[in-house]
Amino acid sequence: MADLDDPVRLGQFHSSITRLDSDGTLEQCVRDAAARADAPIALVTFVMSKVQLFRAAVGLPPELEASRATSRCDSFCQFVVKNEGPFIVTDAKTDDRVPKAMVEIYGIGSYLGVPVRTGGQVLGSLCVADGRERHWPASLVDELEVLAAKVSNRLEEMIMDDGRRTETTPGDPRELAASVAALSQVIQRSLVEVGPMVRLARGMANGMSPEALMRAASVLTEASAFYDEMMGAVTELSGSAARLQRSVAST
Amino acid sequence: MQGRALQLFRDFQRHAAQTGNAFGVCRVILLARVIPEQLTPELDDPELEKRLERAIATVEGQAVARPP
Repeated sequence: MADLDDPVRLGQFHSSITRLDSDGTLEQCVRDAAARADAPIALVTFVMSKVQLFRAAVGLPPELEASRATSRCDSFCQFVVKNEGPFIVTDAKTDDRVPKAMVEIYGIGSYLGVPVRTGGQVLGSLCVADGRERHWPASLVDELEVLAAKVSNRLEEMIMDDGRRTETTPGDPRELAASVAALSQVIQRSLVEVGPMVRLARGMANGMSPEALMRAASVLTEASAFYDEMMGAVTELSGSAARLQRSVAST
Repeated sequence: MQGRALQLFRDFQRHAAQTGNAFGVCRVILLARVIPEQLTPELDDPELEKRLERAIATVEGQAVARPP
């Protein structure tokens, strides 16, 4: 069983694949998956450290189409990653293995997901979902695995293309320095906003009423999504700084 | 549109304060790559407005997607 928080797995989420612009191959794969399963929803998902990201999607409810993400703990795809294999839900309402947020809020009734991999790690899934109970045909797993292999190849390609571009065109040192400086400023500014929450957390040890403690704990549970975004920004900063280093060295 | 980025950010700040979305503002800053102090009524930057809209939709969407 895979560890969702394995740093080697989390290290596979390069910015070249987690960006949310449309990609023809990934979009085609989700359309094909939906058609083969005769399902209204099909997705390529990434199960990240705290959130599940929808990298390509058809049939999402409007709120999820806008956010393109949910909390990881609410996702069904986390089980594809944990099992490193297909995960099938026939009736989500009665299936004790799955969290109920997606069932209760978005009416997800059934699900079938297969792994999507890069660098030998399961990043997420190619999955289909329906609003009703479904007895998915056994052959569908094989069909989705063929499509998932296409998705995995495309993701590997995106990582390699980005690596080549970074390798061959380090860029103008002044532009890179400006970009590093701008991103550092954004990170610093966002941390200013976090200050009150950090003080709140420190204050929890100094005696609070149970009500205040509950409120504070509720606020702090929101920190995980911030952590994911901070990790993305810091990874990008580190990549830009490495390019700047190469750029300066080559001049 | 002139001043729209500032308006989007202020509206979100107000909404986040009302709904107790404590980490919302820092997340929008990070996702949209924006410095709030640089948003002025004169600023007219459609690209930045798009980034803000997307960031706000992401943060608010996840708040909606969270179980009650």
